[in-house]
Order: sequence, then C-alpha cells, then structure tokens
Amino acid sequence: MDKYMRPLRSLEDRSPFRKRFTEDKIVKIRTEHNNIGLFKTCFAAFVILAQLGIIIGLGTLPALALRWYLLFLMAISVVTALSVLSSHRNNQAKAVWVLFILIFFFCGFLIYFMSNDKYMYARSRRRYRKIYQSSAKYLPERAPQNASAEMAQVCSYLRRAGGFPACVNTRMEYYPSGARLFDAVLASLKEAEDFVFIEYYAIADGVLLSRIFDVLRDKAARGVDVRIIYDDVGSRAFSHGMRKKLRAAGIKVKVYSRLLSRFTFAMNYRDHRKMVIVDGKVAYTGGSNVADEYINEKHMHGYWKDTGLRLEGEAVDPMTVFFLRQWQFVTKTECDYSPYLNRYERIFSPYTAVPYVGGPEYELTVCKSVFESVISSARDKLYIMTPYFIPDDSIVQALVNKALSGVDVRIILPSVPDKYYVYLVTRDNAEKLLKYGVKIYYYRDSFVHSKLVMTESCAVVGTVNFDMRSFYQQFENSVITDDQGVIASVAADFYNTFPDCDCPEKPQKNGFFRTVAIALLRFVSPLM
Amino acid sequence: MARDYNNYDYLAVSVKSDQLERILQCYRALGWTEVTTVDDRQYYDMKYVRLRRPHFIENKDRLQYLQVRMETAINSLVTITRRAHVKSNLVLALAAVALVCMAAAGIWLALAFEGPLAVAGVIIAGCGVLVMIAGLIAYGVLRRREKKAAAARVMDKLRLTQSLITEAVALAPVAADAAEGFDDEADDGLNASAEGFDDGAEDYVPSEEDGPAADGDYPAPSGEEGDNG
Repeated sequence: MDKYMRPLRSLEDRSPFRKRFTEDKIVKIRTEHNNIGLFKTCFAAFVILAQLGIIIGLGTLPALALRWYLLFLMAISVVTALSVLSSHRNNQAKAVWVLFILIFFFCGFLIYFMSNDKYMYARSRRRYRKIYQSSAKYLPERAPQNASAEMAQVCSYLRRAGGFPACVNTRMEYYPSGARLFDAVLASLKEAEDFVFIEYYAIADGVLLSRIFDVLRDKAARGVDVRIIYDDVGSRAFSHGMRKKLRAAGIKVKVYSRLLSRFTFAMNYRDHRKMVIVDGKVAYTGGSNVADEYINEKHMHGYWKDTGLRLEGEAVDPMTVFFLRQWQFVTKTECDYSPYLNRYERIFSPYTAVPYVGGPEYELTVCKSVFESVISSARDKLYIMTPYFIPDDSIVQALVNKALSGVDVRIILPSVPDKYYVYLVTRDNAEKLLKYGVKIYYYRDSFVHSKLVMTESCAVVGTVNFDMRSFYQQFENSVITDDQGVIASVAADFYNTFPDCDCPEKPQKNGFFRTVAIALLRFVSPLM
Repeated sequence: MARDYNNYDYLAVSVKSDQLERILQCYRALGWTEVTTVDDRQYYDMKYVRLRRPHFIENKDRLQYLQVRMETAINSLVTITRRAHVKSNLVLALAAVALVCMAAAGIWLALAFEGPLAVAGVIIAGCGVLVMIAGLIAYGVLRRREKKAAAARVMDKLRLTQSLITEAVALAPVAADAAEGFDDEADDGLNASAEGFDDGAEDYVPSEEDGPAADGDYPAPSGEEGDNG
C-alpha cells in the first residue's frame, strides 16, 4: 500500500520532538479527519468571490459618478423582479429572488441573470437534449405489467416525463448499510469481464478506494473497460495522485463540472448520482459514496447510516444508458451504446422496477414528482429516511394531509448534523409536522444519509434528498419498485432503526439566537 | 509494516493512559484486537493504540453502531463533568461583579458626598454585601443540585456503556487470531489479556470509581434505570 492507500492520518510518522498537548476526550479516534481538498475548496471559494466582487464593482461603479445610472439600475431591477414573478420557479424561490433583487438593486439583477439557468446553462442543456434524442432508442417503451394502479400511474408518468421504461424480470437486493453495499460491489467487480462503469458524487482517498482500486487495476490490466465519472465538488478528497494512479492503470477517469472555473450558476449543478454497472449484468445504486465514512471506517459525524440496492436483469440496461449519456456529455464524444446493452441475465420476476434520473437537464422536476406520487399513493404507512428535510410547501402539505387522514407517517432524521445550518432548518421543518401526527425520529449518535421512501405498496431507493437541491439543481438517480422482497427488507430496516431513535412528542424549544438563525435560514432555504 | 486491507479493518485510537485497560476491554468486546500500543506523540497523557478486526465479521453494522455509541458515551463523561457547574459558577461570578460594582459605587457616594447621598452610598454598599451573601447561598444550593444531576447523568452514561458492551459481547465472535500472525506485534501484556476478552468485557461493571475517574467527586446514585440505547 502506498501513501494514497493508507488511512490519511497517521501519528506514527510524527516527529517525537514536536510539542505534545493534553486532550479532553477519553477516546480520540485518530482516523476521522480528512483535510485533502480543503485548500482547493478555499481557493475556489476565494476565486469565485473575487470574480463576483469584480462583476458587482464594475456594475455599480458608474452609479457613483452618474446619478441617472442609479435610476437606470432601479428600473432594470423592477423589470427583473417582474420577470422573476412570471417565471416557472417555485413560489418560495421567487419571493426570495424578488426581495433580493429589490433590496440589492445595484447588483441583484446581475447576480440573478448570472444565476439563471435559462441563460447560463442553455448550451449544456442543448447538448444534453441532443444526447437524449440520439440515445432515446436505447430505452424501449415498456408499460408495467401486473402493477398496482398507483404504481402504474407513477410508471406512466416516468415513461412520459423522461422515457424511463418500467422493467420487470429484475432481481433486487437491498443493503441496509454502506459496508454491506460495498462488499457486494467489490464481489461483483472481481467478476467483471467486459466493462465497469462507475459514477459517484464523492470519491475520496482511503481504504475503500484502495480496495476498489486493487480490483480495478487488475481488471483494467486484463482488458476490462473501466470508466469512472466523479463530481469535482463532492470528490474534494480524491487526490490528484490517486487519479494519476488510476489513469496509469488504464482506467478512464473523468470529472463532472470542474470546480475551479469562471463563476456561473451552473457550478451549482452537481452530479449527485451514485451508480456502479458491471458488464451490463449487475447494477448498484443507493446513498453511499466511495469514501471511508460511508462504510464507517471513519467516523465523521457519528455512525453513518446508509443504504444501497443491487439490480440484476432488465433494469440494468436503463442504468447503463444513464451512465453512457453522462459519459458522452463529459467526454464530448459520440458513443455507440449497443455493445453495452442487452447483456443482462434473463430472470423471471413479476415485480416492476423503474430506474430513473432527474436533474437540470429535464424541464420537469422528475424526482420531486415521484416523491409526490408516492406520498399521495400511501394508504396505510409512509416511511421516509433522509439526511435533509427542506421540502417545498406542496410536499409538506401532502405529508400533513396523509398524517391527518390516518396514514402512519414517520420520518427518520440524523441526530448528528453534517452541516449545522442545514440541520437547524431540517429539524425545524420536521418538528412543525409533529402537531399533525407525523412521527419524527432522530437516529441516536448517527448521521442518516439514506434516501428512502416506502409505502405499503412501493419503495424508492436512490440518491434523492428531501431538499430543493435534489429536486431542482442536482443530477440524481433512483429506483422505484413494487418488489415485495425489497419492500420487506426496507421495512425491516426501518423497524430495526426505530428502537434506536429518539422520538420527540413536542418541538424542541429554540432560544432567541437559534430562532433568529432559523428565521434567516428559512428565508434562504428555497435556494439551498 | 504491511496491512491486509482486504481481510481486516483497522482502527487507530488515542486513549487516556489511566483508562487504557478499561477502554481496550470495550474494544475487544466489539471484536477488535490490539496490534500496537505506544505513547501518543501528540498528547502526553494518552496512549496511541492500533486495532484490527476481520473485515467480514458477523453483525458488523450493529457492532459499528454500538462502537460509535460507546465512544460517544465515554467521551460525554468528560463533557458532563466539565459542564456540571456552569450555572453555579455563573451565579457566583455575577454576585461577585455585583458586589464589586455596588461596593465601589457605595464607597464613592459615601466619601464624595454628605447627607442623604452618603447614607445611600452606605446602603448600596451594604446591599452589595447582601447580594454577595445571597449569591453564595444560591451558589451552594445550585452546586449541590448540579452535582446530583451530573452524577445521575454520569451513571446513565455508564449504564448505557455497559448495556452497549453487553450487547456487543453477545454479537461479536471471539477473536481467534488475537496476537497471532501480526506483522507488528502488540505489547505482550495487552495481547495476553486479549485472549480472555469475553470475560473481561463482562467484568466491566460501572462502579463508583468510574464517575470520579473523570472528575473525582461524584457519588454513585442508586435508583432509576438509565438510557439503555
């Protein structure tokens, strides 16, 4: 193992002559921090802020000399605010933008236009559209068979919204932890013969990556086509040295949306998808990324609760198409999909599975709509596990309606935050539902990173959080299924988790400062 | 030193030297075996311990969860004891500030003026002394209450730790390879004690000693059941 393979922080190399301190903790875990990428993030933030400052400065400087320019800015701001109000954004985001533009009238409209995907993301969207049109033939039109009316309705929506086929004859296995998911992924990778496609939001140096690298290096040497797409923001801890090693081993590694670039709002669009496809026979998805904390080899925020799903059979093909589309986008090359499709094992299963993706390349908010459909289809129980809970009014109202109509609505949230400011709003949003009968569970000493929704008739496993970023701004992927085996496994996971949770009956009392902080965060939460 | 990352999980922890054996018993109960124990190079009162556990251990998810809860519970003992007297100390500090301010104002009025203002000065200084006395009484009462509350919380945490370890002992298989075949050998004494970790973990019963280990002055309360996770 070389230096990229080892856990990152080792005190054994530390000089004995350095000053030694005392420590308050009785037990201190020595593998918990990972500061790779911190400099890069800070530098990127600095560059972006500097660019923003220059733009604002250049935009407002004439106002100091010319009074009529100030009036001009005001007029433009009012026109911009009117155009925001007539746009198709969600109402909360509209309100925040209008207020922002009118208060900061000297620069608000500039930031709005730079942040508007209609103008700043148009070229990317055109490219995506072209790729989608040319690859639509690889996603056959399949209607669900033997599915319940509710499931059939969701399938119909997904088919029309994004051409996502309803697959049967798929064998699925649910994993209630990242550790078990990646043990299965590694076992599949060892059996790869032709190709391995990996797409992850976060890839980080460490033990898990070293285990995967050992297998992939061997496979690449034997001629297996190994391709990796990673997101530059999520993969801050994916070192340059490690990427070099992967490429040297013959693995094709591509980055999605490089962080250090000019300021555009498109940099806010991140590839949050997580999938592994092996030989077109097996596919994996779920909440886990390729980093040690996801398998609890490191403890960043207490115990890390995550999930995963393995698919074999018909449903693997759409996942392969999703990957190849993204590959085509990042590499800007033409690609023939057919050698990678129709390679799955013929399995018989009567249940339906629909892999789908969502993101800024679609005009419709596919992931949000699927959640809304699933929530509205619940008759008996509705269980949700999510790290963040910042939904918009429509989802909140749907949850309240379900709880009031007697459906057992339960939401499992983390008790340890990964981002404190998001957690404040998450907790506040969730606890506001208590009075309507929604049960909120906080998993003790843990960070819940699972993204699960289940009712008595279907389950959704994937990468979609209950927040605006997942609904509107990120590339996500999920699988919705009515497979009774998966539903039973997901339900078992929920029932095993409930006893380890705190379930408050009343909302937590917030002090003055926390109340003010929540109010401010709530104001900007539609943009989070 | 070669590490077998495909078959083993590794963990590096720094542990307070005086709690080392007790904490290692907890880790053994969670299926870990110590590889090396050396003086921590960053913290003078800690030992740096490297542990390993078979990667494909049974009930791994649950053991990982129990481990995190155990570490959190153990570390919270320090937090509880350190923050035990925040309120009483604050009351005392406020009373002292009030005394100083009122005494200063009172003395200034008494010395600088004559007649009613001088009398008011004496009264204000007297009030300052009364505030200080009231503060001292409140400090004593609060401190006793805080001590009791902190002791109860410490015992809750110890009971929680005990229940976590008991569950872990039932879940984790006995480490067959303790101290065998390591590339880097652990301290003989530690590895020798690893052989019987099962008994060792069950021996770990919270005692009166556990509370004072963190602070030194909390008696073990009897009565209510703690949070058993």
